[in-house]
Amino acid sequence: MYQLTMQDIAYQDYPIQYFSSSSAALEEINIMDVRDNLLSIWMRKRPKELFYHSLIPLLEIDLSSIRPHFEIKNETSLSEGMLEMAVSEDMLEFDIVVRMPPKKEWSARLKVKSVEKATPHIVDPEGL
Amino acid sequence: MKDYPWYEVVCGEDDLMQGDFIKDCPVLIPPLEISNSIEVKIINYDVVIMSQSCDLVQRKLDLVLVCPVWSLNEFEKRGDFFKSKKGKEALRQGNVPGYHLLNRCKIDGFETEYLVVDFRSVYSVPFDFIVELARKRDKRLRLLPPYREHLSQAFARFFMRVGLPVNIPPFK
Repeated sequence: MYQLTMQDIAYQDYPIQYFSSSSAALEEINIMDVRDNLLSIWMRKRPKELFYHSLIPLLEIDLSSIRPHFEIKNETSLSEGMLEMAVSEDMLEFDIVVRMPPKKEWSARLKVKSVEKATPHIVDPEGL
Repeated sequence: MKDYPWYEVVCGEDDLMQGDFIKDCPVLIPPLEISNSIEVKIINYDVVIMSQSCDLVQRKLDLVLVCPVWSLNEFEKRGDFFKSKKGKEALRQGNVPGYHLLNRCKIDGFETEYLVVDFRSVYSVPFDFIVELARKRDKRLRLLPPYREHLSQAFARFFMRVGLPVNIPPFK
């Protein structure tokens, strides 16, 4: 059976599937398969490690005892740089007013026919 | 990924919906005092309909809410802040309350630049008048979901702002 190798697959998150065959004997496993297998595991693990590394500054870690202590730092212990990162400029609002002139403007003289007191226009709510 | 177009073109006779664009919509500005004979100012805007589609289709409104629409180019000329990349980005990210950026339209015969909707100038136009105007203008551009709902949400966000008379001072 043709087996997939790392050279066949470009996606790093797509694990290589190894097929277990009943006829597979120890002598059939070659060094290329072992290398591809290790490489595949390493590529899957690496992004996770980076992700956890990025969380380390947010934690208070005490490894001095046999029971390591991990705790999320409170906001006062977060560095100023991290706060600046959290409150980026993207979150600021700009309350700006631009007065645009109309596309066209003219006046007309009208004769007022009547002036009436308005009455409410009640719309029946649906489903009641 | 599926293509999600921003706009479509609809016929003049089609029901009015939120997000429909009407060109050269006149708005009457009454004088300060009303007498038997008055002089009114009439101003024309290109507008987008802000009233909810269901209210329009079921004719539950006497007046239709519209907001003026400007090309980003025209808008920049009046507001220096929007000439800068920072200003345009703030507009794009929805960080300028009162204004909402819409994408360019590339439909043949209906091409537009980026558009800016001005929520600070809201007008109401009589329903029958705007229906007739839309029919006369013939084909019109319509903003499509979810961009239409995004526009409506931006309007709601602008309208529901609360300005505090005494705010909590910033932390130093």
